[in-house]
Amino acid sequence: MTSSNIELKHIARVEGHGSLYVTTKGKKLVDVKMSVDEGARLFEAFLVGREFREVPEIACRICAICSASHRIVSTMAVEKAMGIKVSEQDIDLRRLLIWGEYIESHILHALYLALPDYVGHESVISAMADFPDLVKIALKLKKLGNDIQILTGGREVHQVSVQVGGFSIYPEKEELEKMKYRLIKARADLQKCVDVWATLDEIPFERQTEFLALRRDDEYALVDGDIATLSGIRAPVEEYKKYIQEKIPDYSQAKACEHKGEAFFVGALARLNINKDLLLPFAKKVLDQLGIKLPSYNTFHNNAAQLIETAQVFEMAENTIERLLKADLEWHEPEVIPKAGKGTHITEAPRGSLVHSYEFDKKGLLTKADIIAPTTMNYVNMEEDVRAFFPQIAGKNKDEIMFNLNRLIRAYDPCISCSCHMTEVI
Amino acid sequence: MAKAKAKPKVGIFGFTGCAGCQLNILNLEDHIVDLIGLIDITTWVMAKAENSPGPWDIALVEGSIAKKSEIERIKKIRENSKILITIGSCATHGGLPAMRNLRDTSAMKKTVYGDTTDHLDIMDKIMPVSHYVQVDAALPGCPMDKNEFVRAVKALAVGKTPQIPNFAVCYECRIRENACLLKEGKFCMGPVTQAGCDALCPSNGAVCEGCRGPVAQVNWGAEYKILQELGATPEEIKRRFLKYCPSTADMEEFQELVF
Repeated sequence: MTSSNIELKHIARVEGHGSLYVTTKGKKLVDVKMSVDEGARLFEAFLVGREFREVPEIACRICAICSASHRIVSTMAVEKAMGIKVSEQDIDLRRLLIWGEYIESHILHALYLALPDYVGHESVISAMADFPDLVKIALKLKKLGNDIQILTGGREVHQVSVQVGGFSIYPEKEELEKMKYRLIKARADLQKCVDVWATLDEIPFERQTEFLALRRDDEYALVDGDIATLSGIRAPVEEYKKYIQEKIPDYSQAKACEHKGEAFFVGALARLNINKDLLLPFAKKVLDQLGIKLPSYNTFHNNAAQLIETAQVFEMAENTIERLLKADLEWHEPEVIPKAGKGTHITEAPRGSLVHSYEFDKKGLLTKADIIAPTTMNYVNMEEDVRAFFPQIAGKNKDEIMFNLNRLIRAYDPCISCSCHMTEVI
Repeated sequence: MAKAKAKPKVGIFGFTGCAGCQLNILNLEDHIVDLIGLIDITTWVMAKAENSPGPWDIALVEGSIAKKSEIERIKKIRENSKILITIGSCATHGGLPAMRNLRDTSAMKKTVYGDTTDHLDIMDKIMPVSHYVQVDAALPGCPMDKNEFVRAVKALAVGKTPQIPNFAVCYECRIRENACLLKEGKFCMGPVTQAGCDALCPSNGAVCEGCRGPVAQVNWGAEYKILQELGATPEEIKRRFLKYCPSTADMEEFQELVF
């Protein structure tokens, strides 16, 4: 039998440059390689020698779509290294920034990048002709997420006001009140998107894998918590190297990760599987409406999970603003004294767990950085999924096979810039 | 009735980078429908599955040329485009990743990958896009400013070249009636940085980090003196001056500074 190659070069409608190479023999799949084509920027290397205050400013530039998550995880890792404590209202403002990022990022992915496949369009621009109202609602929701990021971070991409030790400015109370009102009103818009999603044909697919996400017992963990897996591991974030191991494939510009020598999944579906008991009422209602049984081993459910999480952060944002409105919101200059130390923090970026681990000298200059981005963690799982999914589509023509494989990779919401900032070798 | 003029064909291209300038186009929620009325986006891999191989009337280029294969790609795009515009600091000035130009790249590779680096295509220096091909206009900034982008596209759609301010961020700060951060003792880069961002960072109480690159007729010496008087060490000043636009180090006026 002759072997043939299927190449998805420069996968469209994802962030960054990645390709998938599949080798088949007849209808059998012989090899899968997920390759990152993005050039290396060597962030960990050029962060060395930089001052602690500018580390989050630089680190957030690893990725635009998750810049708020990078900014927050980096700031918190620096603060842990220097033993800096911040106020409750600083913590709440940072959380609110992240809820804004979740709304923007999940709507962008589920409705702009993933949905066109389900409704037979090549892009959201072409979908506008058939679904003008839905596209308008999606734009409105995305803007809401961005406006929350602007209110708390100063800008929707590469935030400016989050500083080591606090903030450079606080939002006005009236602005927070207005935002809360907008969130409450926008629930109906999100509901309309969920109603559309509930009518889409589900893609049947299942593959047993491990899921990894942050976990805390009092809240659906997104900004801090312990490392947890669906199979029951629970460990402090400082022990991340025990659970997330990196390797360097020789066909890619990015590293890949394993957990106990096996593939694992991070992202919305992993969080939902691990933290389903902590969903708030709005998200629970959306979960019920979409009819997803948890734990789910269907990667395609990751997009529905993004909508469920959007409902979750809507409610979390309302609650956070409520708390902030009760605080004094008196701005204070961040007070920081550099000192030598190590700090590790993990947050959940919209597309999965994100590790930043730093070491500083006594002048506060960075001596070592280790950054592991979610898409790096998902690469092995993507390849395994392609292997498991292929027999289901092997009988189709080449275009349909490519369409379906693209769709599978896209379901992960891969963020290739992130994965290819390049992680440090242990 | 006169026949409607065909909309200019636009290609949006991402090279190595964070995709933030492309994302900022998607972030134009209030303008995107109008913009699509003005231009025909025929290529945009980040947002579309069906993409034209060219030619284009306008190419918008984001990111750094960080791999050898990207040099060929940018040349091809140039050959197939009437106008080429860089968007963002990486494409315009080299951006943050160009910090490697001032360091030992092979040591940096080792820091990141250990000894397994043979399969990687990593260039020793990151140069602005204008080093490789002719650039007709540049929208600097990390990320590029959304409003500046809208103004530029509107100008391009009627055949004009976008105008970028040639004054410093300080002017915009004055207009916005911000308190001067240098007067508060903070190491702000406003006086040496090209405006056009509406002084976004200082308006948020944060110092200008110089992401838009040096302003025309930049006075490095004066800024050096101000920062030194505020207590910055020569190393700190150098770090700030060479962050987003490391090619600054090649400027004649810059070489007169003593670090």
